Amino acid sequence: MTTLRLWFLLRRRSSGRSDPAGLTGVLAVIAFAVTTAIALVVVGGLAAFVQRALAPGASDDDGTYVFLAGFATLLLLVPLSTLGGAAARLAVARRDARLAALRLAGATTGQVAALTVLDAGVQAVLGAVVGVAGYGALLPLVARLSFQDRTFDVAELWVGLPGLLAAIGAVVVIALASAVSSLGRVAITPLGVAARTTPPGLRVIRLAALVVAVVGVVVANAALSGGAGTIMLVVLMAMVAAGMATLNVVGPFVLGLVGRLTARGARRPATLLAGRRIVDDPRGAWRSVGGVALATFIAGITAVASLFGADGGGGEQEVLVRDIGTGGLLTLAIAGIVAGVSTGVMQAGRVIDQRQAYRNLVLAGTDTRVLDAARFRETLIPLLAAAGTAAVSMLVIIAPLLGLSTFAQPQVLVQYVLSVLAAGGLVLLGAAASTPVARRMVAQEA
Amino acid sequence: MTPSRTLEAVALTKTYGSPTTATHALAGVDLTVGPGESVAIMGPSGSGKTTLLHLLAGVLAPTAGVVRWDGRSLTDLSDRERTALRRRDFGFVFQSGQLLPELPAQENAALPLLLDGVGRAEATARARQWLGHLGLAGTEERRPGELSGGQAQRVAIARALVGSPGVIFADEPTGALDRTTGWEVMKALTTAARAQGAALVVVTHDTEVARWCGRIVEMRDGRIVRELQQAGATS
Repeated sequence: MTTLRLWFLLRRRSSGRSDPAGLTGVLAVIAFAVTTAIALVVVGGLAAFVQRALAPGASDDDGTYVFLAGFATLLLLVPLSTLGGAAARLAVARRDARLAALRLAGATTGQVAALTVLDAGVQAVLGAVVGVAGYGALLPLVARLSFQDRTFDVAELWVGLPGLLAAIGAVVVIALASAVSSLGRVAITPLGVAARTTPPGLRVIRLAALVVAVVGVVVANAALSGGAGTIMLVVLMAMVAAGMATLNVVGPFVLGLVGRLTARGARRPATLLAGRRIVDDPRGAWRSVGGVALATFIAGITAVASLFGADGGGGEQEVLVRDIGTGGLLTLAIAGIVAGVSTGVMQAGRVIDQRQAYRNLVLAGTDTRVLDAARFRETLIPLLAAAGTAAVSMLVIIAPLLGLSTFAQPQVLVQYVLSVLAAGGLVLLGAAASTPVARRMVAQEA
Repeated sequence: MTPSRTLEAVALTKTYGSPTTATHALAGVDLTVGPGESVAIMGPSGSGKTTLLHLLAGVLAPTAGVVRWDGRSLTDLSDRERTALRRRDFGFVFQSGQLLPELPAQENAALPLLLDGVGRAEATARARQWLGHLGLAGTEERRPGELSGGQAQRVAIARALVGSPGVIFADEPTGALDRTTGWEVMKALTTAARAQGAALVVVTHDTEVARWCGRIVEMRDGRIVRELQQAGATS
């Protein structure tokens, strides 16, 4: 039997939504759909600004809008790729028993890998198609946003058929690449997958990235003191991008450390479980909340922009500054939503992965509220660490350029705190969304 | 807790599904397990062994009949009270340990105490003590993925015993182990339960495992069809 026929047979015999593999499939499709819909909205927005800049009579400011929209798109690609990757890992990683059974029945490693990649690919296509429909539904809402003192036409935001096909293709490529990469890390033998051992700690060398970044900030600040507004903006954007990259290197190390300290000092079982889970996979914990670090950065810039917008002065400059604020809030909202969905998908995947252990803990008298609290803290602790680290990094970048007093302004401070709280709230909402999955797993097994 | 209490099941029946598609998992089972007694429940698949274990442990509620522990009917307790009862008075050992993969051995073993509000230092110390009794000294910091199947199952036994339970329920405790390791695990389980004065209820289809118990109860089609006292249980 060919691998393709075998795959069709297994698809037909799938036990449906109550099957853990089926449930992870649904979660993966949802995650792929959100990734596609948001990516298309973001790219559609960029395309709209490009059209405006290319239109007859466009001004220099139109070029600035393209630059800013392009920058926001680049920033959002990180959490979107993370979400796409998380969806692909879901499609691959929760099939241990089935893959082992296939190996036992005589399937080769290549066949098992092909079946898994096919699963991930089909889920990606399904999710991307649903995402395209979601993009279509969101268009009228996005068109109501006002930039450059006018709202969008739906036609401006429409990426066209080639754009849609490219988005579906990109999501499928991310899914297949992540699936192949995940398979490479899992040794599927007829007796199951490799058991987990104590993970090696992340290397302190990661902190070197922080030193390099701080030196970069000092040098850039010294070189550009008194520079023109546009150059300052470009430098600020470059520094934010470099800051995000640095955070992605340093973040998992910080979370590993925070997890160890949490586990060491835990007095309650829920905190102990949360700490141990963070230590178990600090990279995964960072992927789950990394979007909030991005949101914290964007919130800082947006809050500062709102201050300059309030200064008035009139004309195109005022509109530009106001639009930077609007765009920042939009990017913040998108980053928050993506981070929330990522957290929900990853948490639900973990619950499904450990359903048997969950069930037995409940049988042995564990209150389900303790398990819920552990899952909540497993998100809250990295969330606070990520937001804190990002806030400090943000201050390191902004303060030399604009002065620490900028952040002492009540308007900036209030908007900044509210924005970070809103993004964090979305992530916690994502974590809470995994609770029904946990309840279902326990009820189903008990 | 004082391990001198009796677990008693009277006229237990359990039916799954609607009246038209009903499956009778248990059809009138009476069973008494005295303090410190060990009972093996045997029978073919679908005979009702695991359902009986779940009813005795208060995990499932019977369709009819009653389970009493220390004179109290489990069906009269709320879900929260039954959860607390399972945590404090009962211990559980499952087929393949079912330890939490993130926790080192000593924290897995200490978990019931931690969940019951015992301080971490005391809970861990008691867990380490049990791990030592079970021949696992030196493995306290290892995670389940770094333990052999037999070692992981002994950690599960330590977890079941650490709260000084009155009854230990074991569901196919050697099902995932080879013969020699299974023998060692059963020896550890029965010896530790006896030392603790805890009763032991083991669900198994393996006669080698059943030989470790003082009484064998054989089930078929949801009923007890035979009971056998073993004067010289393996020990």
